[in-house]
Formats: sequence, C-alpha cells, structure tokens
Amino acid sequence: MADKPRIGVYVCHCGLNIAGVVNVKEVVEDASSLEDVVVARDYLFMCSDPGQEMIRKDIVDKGLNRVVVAACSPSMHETTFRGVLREAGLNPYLLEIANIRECCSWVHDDKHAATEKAKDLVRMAVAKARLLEPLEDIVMDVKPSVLVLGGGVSGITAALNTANRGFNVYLVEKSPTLGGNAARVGYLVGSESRGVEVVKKLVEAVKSNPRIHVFTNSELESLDGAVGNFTALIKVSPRYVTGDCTLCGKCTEVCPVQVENEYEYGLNKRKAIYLPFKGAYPEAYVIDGEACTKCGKCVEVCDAKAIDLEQKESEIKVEVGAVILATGYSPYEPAHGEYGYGESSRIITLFQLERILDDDGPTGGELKIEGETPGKIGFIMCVGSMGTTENASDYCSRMCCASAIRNILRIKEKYPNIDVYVFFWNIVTYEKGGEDLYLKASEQGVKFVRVEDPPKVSLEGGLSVEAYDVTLQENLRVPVDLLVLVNGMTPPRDLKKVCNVTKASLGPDGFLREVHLKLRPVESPTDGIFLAGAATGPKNIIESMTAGGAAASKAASLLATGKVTVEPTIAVVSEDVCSGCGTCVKVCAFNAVELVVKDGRRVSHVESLMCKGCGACVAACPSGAMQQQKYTDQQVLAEVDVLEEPRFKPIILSFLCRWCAFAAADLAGTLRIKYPPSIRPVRVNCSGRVDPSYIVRALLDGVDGVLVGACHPGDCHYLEGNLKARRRMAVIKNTLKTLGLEPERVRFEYISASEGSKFAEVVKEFTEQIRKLGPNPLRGGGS
Amino acid sequence: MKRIFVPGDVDSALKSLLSKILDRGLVDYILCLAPEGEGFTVKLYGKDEELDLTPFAPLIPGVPIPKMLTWASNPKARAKVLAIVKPCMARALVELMKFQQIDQENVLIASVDCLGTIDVEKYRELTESGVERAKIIEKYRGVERHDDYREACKICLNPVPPYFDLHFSPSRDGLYIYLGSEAGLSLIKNLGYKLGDGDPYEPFRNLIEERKKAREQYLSNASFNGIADLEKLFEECIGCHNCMEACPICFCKECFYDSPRYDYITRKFLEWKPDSGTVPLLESKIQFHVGRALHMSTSCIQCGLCEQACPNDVNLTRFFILLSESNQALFNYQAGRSLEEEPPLTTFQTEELEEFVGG
Repeated sequence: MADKPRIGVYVCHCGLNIAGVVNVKEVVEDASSLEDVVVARDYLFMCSDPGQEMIRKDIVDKGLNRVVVAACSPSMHETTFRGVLREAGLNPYLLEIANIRECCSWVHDDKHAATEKAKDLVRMAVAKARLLEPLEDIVMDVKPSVLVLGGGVSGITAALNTANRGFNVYLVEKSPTLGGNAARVGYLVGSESRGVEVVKKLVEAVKSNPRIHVFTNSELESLDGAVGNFTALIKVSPRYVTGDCTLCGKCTEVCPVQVENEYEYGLNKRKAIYLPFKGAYPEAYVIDGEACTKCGKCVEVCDAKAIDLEQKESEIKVEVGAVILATGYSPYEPAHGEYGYGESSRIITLFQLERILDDDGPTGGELKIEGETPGKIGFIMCVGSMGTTENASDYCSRMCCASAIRNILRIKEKYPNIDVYVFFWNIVTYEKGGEDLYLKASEQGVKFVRVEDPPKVSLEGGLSVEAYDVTLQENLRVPVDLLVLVNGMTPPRDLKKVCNVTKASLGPDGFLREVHLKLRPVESPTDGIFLAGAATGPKNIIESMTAGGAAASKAASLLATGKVTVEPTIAVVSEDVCSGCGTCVKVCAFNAVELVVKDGRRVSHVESLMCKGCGACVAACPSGAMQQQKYTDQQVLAEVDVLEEPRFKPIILSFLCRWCAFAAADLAGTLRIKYPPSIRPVRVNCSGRVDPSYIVRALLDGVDGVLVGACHPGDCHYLEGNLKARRRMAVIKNTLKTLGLEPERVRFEYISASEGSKFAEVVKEFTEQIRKLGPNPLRGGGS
Repeated sequence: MKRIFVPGDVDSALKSLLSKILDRGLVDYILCLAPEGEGFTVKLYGKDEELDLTPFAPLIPGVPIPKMLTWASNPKARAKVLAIVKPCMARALVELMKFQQIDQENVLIASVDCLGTIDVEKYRELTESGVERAKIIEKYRGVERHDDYREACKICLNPVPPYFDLHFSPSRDGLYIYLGSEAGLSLIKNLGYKLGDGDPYEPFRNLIEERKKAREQYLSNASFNGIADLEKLFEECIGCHNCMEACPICFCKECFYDSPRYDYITRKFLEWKPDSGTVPLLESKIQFHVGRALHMSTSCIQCGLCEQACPNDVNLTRFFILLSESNQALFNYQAGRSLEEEPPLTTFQTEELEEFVGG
C-alpha cells in the first residue's frame, strides 16, 4: 500500500481472563508509543457488539488502514474481526491478531512477565500489520458436470450417484465395453448372481439416465484447468461398427485374424471383429484396430451394413467441475515360470478359473483341463501378494481368499469327488458370511495346508506341488491335475499415463494415493479430483461400489454451491527474480506449481486454485522469488526482528504450525496448564513454511532459542510439509553443530493439536535447557 | 567403460578429435580454457576456428564456467556445446542440470584428468617473475603433489569426476578418451576410432587413498569451536559477496541476502544498541555466509573458487568444505555424483533424521 500505515491497536480484557493477569493498560500504553500506531484502546470484551463497534468507528473516523486486535486465539475470532473490517469498508486481510489469552494470560502466573510478553506479542502483530496488503478471496463459478474415468462397477456407481443428484456425467471407458473386471467374475460371494449380472443391472440404470454420456473405446488425452473448471479432451478410438449392428455374428465367423482373448484371460482366442462378451454395453460388435488387416471380409457378410472401416478417431472436449478416477486394477500376472506358470496348460490363475466355471465361458462351464475333469486340484494362495515371493507386492489383495473358496465350493457342488488342496499362509475371508465359507469348505473335505514358504511346483513326471506343512510339521508332496494360482490385484498397467494426464499421485504400492486413509479416503491431493474403487488399492466389488458412491457424494458437495473459494494465503512468484530452477515444482505436494516459458526464460507459475497455502515452496525457494500472501518473508521477519529488544530472558522464538502445534498451544491455554513465559509464538500455516534463514536471523537478533512445532508424520494438513521441515531443521542444526554454535538452541518437535500438555512440557524443558546454556553468544554477531 | 585412443602428442590428438566433431556438426561449439595475453580466458570455438585451447592448464579461471553456459539452456537456444572442464566444474554442471540451469540436451560434459590447480594469484606471481605460460603448464603437468596447489585441490578425491559424457586422459603416447554416457558414446562412435575398454579411475587409485587420509586430517583440523572462531575467520570479510558471484553453484538471479530483507548494515546498525559499544558488522557477515551455506552447501562441489575470488583471501575453503561434507553426509548425497540423485532439499523420505527431532 502506498499510504503510510495507520494502525489501530485494540487490547481486550476478556473480563478477567486476560486482565486478571496481564496489565492491559500498560500494554495499551506501550502500543501507543509504537510508530504508525494512531490509536490504542482497551475494552472489556472486544468481540462484543460495543467492542466491534469501537473498532468500526475508529476505522471510519480515524482513517485506519490496519487493525491489530490483542485478545483470544485467532482460531476463535479472526473471522469475527475480519467481518468488522469488511463492514467498515476495509479489506478483511488487513487484520492481525495477537493471542494474549490462550498463549499468555491463561498459561502464566507471573503477572509482570505475562505483561511484558503481551507487549512483545502486540509489537510483533504491529510489525506484521505494517506490511500487510489487501487480498481478495479467490471465488470461481464451477461447471456442474463430472467426468468419471473408468467404466467398471465403481465408475458406473459413481456416475449413477452423481447423475441422480442432477449433474451431467461423462463416463469414459478405455475398453469397448462397460463392466471392467467385475463383468468377468463368476458367482459372487453369498449370492446366486454372477458379476456380469450385477453389471447388467448397473448398465440398465445408466441407459435410462439421460444425464450420463457414455464414451467407450475412449481415453482421457488431457486435463487442463483446476477444481471447478477442468477442460478434458476425450479421445474416442473408432469401433468401425455402427449402431446398426444386429449382433448376428456373421462377421466374426469369416474374420481370418485370431488374437488372444483378453476377456477370457488368454484361455482362448477371439477374432479381430468380436463381441467382448454376452451383456457387453454398448451392445455391438467392435473391431480391434491393431489386429484388423482391413481385408473387408466382414463388410461383405454384414447384412445391416453396420461396418465402416473408414471410421476415424475423434476428439471431444468437455468442461467439468470435478473428475472421478475409477481406473480399477489389473489381475496380477504371474511371471513365466513363477510356480510353473506358462509352462503347462494345467497351471492357471484364479481369474482364468472364474472363466472356466462360468456357463458363458470358453468351456461352457465344464471344468475340463486337456479334455478331462481333474481329479485333484491344488490352489496356491497369495500369488503376487503379501510378499510371499520376490516379485509379490507387500499388500493383501483382499478379495482372493473369498473368491478362491467360493469357487472351490462351486466345484465341490458340481464335482463332489474332486480332491482339493489349498496351500495358504493365512485365510482372510473377512466379509459377511466369510467364516462360513471356510467352515463349509473344511466340512466338504477340502484340505487346507498352512505354509510359511512358497510351495515348489514340479512338472517332472506329472504336475505336483511340494510344501512344508507348518501344522503337521511335515513335507508334503501332492500330485495334482490342475493347479490354480490365486492371484491378486495390481495397479492397472497404464496407470502412469493417467497420472501424467491428471497429475494424480501414486502411493508407495503403485495405486492412486488418497489424501488420508480414514478422514478423506476418496479424495486425491489435487482439489476436484476424486478416487473410487480399486484405483486406490485392492477392494472387492462391494467395497468398490461403496467407494464409487462416496466419491460421487464428494464431487456433488463440491459442485452443489455452484462456487469454489480459495483462501488467499497462496504462493505468488516474482518472475523477474525467479531463475526457473524448479525446486518449488518438486516440493509442491499438490501439483500447483509448474515451469512455464515467458520471454524466452523458464519461470515458475502458481495455479492459484490448486495452491493450498502451505508455504513449502516459499521456504524452498533460495532466491525469495516465491512468496506467500500474508506470510511473506518480510512479514515473518518483521515479527522475528521485534525480539531484538527482549524483555525477558530467556526468549524463545517459536514457529508453530496452525493446524497442530499452534492448536496445541491453544489447548494448553484452555486447560490452563502453566509454563514459563519464554515463548514468543509466530503462527504459520505449516512447519514447511519455516525457512532456516529465519532461525539464523533470530539467533543473531539475540533470541536464546528457537522452537519449531510441527504435526506428527502422517498427520500434516498439507500431507508432508512436516517432513520437508524436518530436512531443513536437520540442515540448520547440523550447520550450527559443525560451526560449534550450540545446535541445542534450535529444537524441532512433533506436537499434535490434542497434545496441549506436551506443548507445555516441551516449553518447560526447553526453557530450562536454554537457561542452563546461558544467554545466546550470537547476539549481534558476538561482539 | 568404453574408450578410444588417439595416438600422438596430446594437444594435436585432442585438436584432431575436436575438429572432427565440429566439422560433422555433432556439436555447434566447444567451450574451453584458452590462452589470452599472458594468462587464460574461456573461449567458445565454432567450426573452422583455430583450436588453440589449453584444457590441461592447472588453473580454473575466475569466471564461473557453468554460469557462462546458462545461455545454452535458454528454451530458445538451439546450440549444442561440448564443455571441456576440470572435474570439479563437471560436477558443478551435473548439479546445475538438476536445477534446470544447464540443459542436459544442449550441453555435453567433457572432463580432463586433474591433479590440482594453482590459485590465479599464484599464476600472476609466476608470470610477473618472468615465467611464461607454456612453462607454467609444464611445471605442474603430471605432478600429483605440490605445495602450490590450492587447499581444495590438495584434498580432492575426484581427479576424474564420477559423471561425465567424455573424459580426456593424456598418456605418454597419446590421448585416451573415455565415454561415460550414451551421449558421449553417440558423439564418438561414428568418427572412425576403434572402441576399447578401460577404467579412467585406475591410474589414480593410490593418489585417492593418499588424499583420503589427508582429507580426514584436514576435516578434523578445520573444525570450528564457536563464535570466536567464526569472528576470526571473517575478520577480513568486507561483504562484497564475490564468493557468491564466483560460486559455480549459486545460480539465483538475485541473492536472497542481497535483498532488502537481509539488509543489515544500514538498518540494524542504526537501530541496534550494542551492549559493549563495539560495531556489530559481524552479524551481517554471519547471516550471509551461514545463510548461503544453508542454501547451497548440499550442492557444494568443494572447488574452493569462493576463496580464490575473495579479495581478502578469507579461508572460505575451510568453511564450505567442512559444512558441505557434513551436510551432504546427512543425506548420503554427494554433489555432482549422479544426475539421478535428487538434491536433498527438493525431496524427503518418510522415515529419516529422527535424531534431529526433540530435545
């Protein structure tokens, strides 16, 4: 602001809550003596109507352009006082709050010390207020549409739930049919329905819903924009078969090309022109563009003239307010030779077994291997999961135990004389009726062999499985006619492309990452992008559909008000100063920063709608080109520099993250837990905002110690700000240590919002430690 | 790794190879140390220019070579440059590539065997006492230990850098060129030389072992014990910031500590009331040097150019080698070792550094 700051300071008594300990009149007097402070007053309850009116009147009568309120925690009344400024015609972000209740009067006994601390806190707030700038809330209209990527059961459920709330839905599926993996699953646990029947019901609902637009054979090419306003480019690959198709099947008979049939998991072949399966939607044949030789034989026999070999790829642009990723999973593909897989047609996967047992499958539901019904079947569990073998993932794929046993029960029902051996580590049939599955199987004579090491499969002289039975404490060698490898779930093979396009991030297991497992399980770190189903990790059909409904609910909530607001404590780049090093891009957990080329130079650009205001990029930027609105370097340093005239020794500057450590300090106040008056808190949005240079500055200013309070790992409101802070704290402490400069004066602590007593303990302990160390010799640089 | 051998005297062998590379347009320019006047400069050679370069001269010029190359990384640039540099500068180029200051596509890193370099002041001393440039180059050629070598060179463990596209190693009867990357291999493979195998680090194994011991000794002697030590170190520092300007790693367009945010001298001097009445100029020196170390010590390549550039010879080599050694060790990181290693402050691990948490 070009005008000279005209600051009004308002100190609240809060009845006796503050005034009973802090000498409010002294604080007011001290504030009046500060440069740029035009008026300083006190009042019994500043948040009351007369209190608010006092401020409002002063703003208007005295032409105030900054306001400092010294009262309770900003978490209580920051919004209230921002409202007062708004009413008086002043930008609401020209307000600064000094917390002299929770962080001062409620936690200190020594009235003199508490008063001196309150004076410091007011001075800090005034120093910052001088540098505040008016800021505008960022509000945008949203588009009332949603794009659902993935036409499996979770995607369809998400689409239905979204459309039923009145929003337009674009359902994009990369294969030629809806249904995903569930459509190829046999009889479901506890029901007489097959997967394809469940899919059929869902598809009926989709067909009759005019708000859902289905794009099969389609992929998401690009996704631009941000929450509330995405622009998506959908690439539709040609089917070469039009809606006139009558499903007569003549084309498929004459097609000369044969390829592996992915819908039967490679058990048989299909033609280049084919119907994916009975019940596929859209109900039409499709030509596999890569396999087709364009010989034209199918065109000749098609009575309906539904084949157009000249069909071209098309691109469709849609504008949506939210995106739901329901990209599902791929079944784990055992490596060639893993348990003998690929070396014999007698060794199959669970998914292949499902197809064999399905009446609509390649064997018509008959369990035949090499023309015969097997006499003995072996099942090896946890294939590709639970870290059982070297290339297995560590996680449990959840659905396989129940699926395997369910299939065993069906086999025993149809072929009671088949002997079944199950080699397992743990049986985890956790769903409703799950225990019954296991009991029934045991009752029917299925032999469960518990192992601790992977069984060995041998093809010499016939197929056999050898394992050490942990219960019997004996080596078993079981010859079998059929071996089923119970494989689990892995992330879909082309998930990386989805991530590149949507900027979704992957978790350590390779699936899409949710913000918080319990609190926000269907949200991705990118605002406006939600996650449904097995996309985030193994789930059975029930869980996938539930997640689809949840994601729809979240998307609808976002779009329901028609607007989206972003708090303006976002990062902004000074392009002149930026050297395009990309550190900010690497450090941003929300993909809100990217490098762009401007005037022939690479510089940083912040997408304001995606910025969460954690400040990690600001602390990471070596040149200071990146700043955070309302928490610029200048503003924070102004607060820090006040402490060069300390009023009480020792003085400990404390950076506290708003969501955890500062809340913990507030809690200590609410619980009236007493601790020494050494702390001078500076609130930041995230510990990741703390630049180690501030700590050096503070020590040179003369503070005796610096405490940085952060969330516990895993709890950070901004995902990993605390982990970034941890590295920086390690560097500053190590630097001080290497220079022989008392690294113990700098302390980094995890303090969660509920740990009020821990906060007090840490302050007590740290203060004592600093007291023993004595005054900081670095003050003024030593001399 | 793969290598080729060009027989003959080293300088002609190098010239003939580089001419071939330029003639075929495999690169547009070669950047290298070159003679000028009585001393050296850095030249950019194009096709058909006379290649009077002196890459093996025992000197690193004051002008930061990496900073000179940032023009080749401008998104509009189309030029491809082969930069022939000392191993420490090669490591600097690797670090700068990670910070997008040097374009990996446009700049190829060629290093040379380096046993040590002398300070530019020492060089001036020699020429002023009548020794000619060619003689000076000869004086130190092949010399593994010399008192004249800079402090940083005496304990350098990288006579050959860990990463390079090409590496030139003179031998008695010719020049070995090692091909350290796919890019290096592509450059050389169609030039008609026979590909052989070799280990560029082999000739220096003993030297490195010896220097490791010297380095350990140096690091333990170099330790600082508090503010008085720092005071002594920065006694002659005048705050000119030349160390930052010369530093190959410092790439910021505007140094944080040049901005008004850290403007100590005028503002603080007026406001701060010293207890003892002495002048608190040390405050701004510490903020600058420690602050700069906080930003770049994790990428410091320990070249010692900071000290070389200092008008008052402040012993910055000691300060930065000590800090960078310690700070990089925290993350098991070595500046310039690999393009795949992310600079420590741009990333983090879920579990680490718990010893720095709590009291």
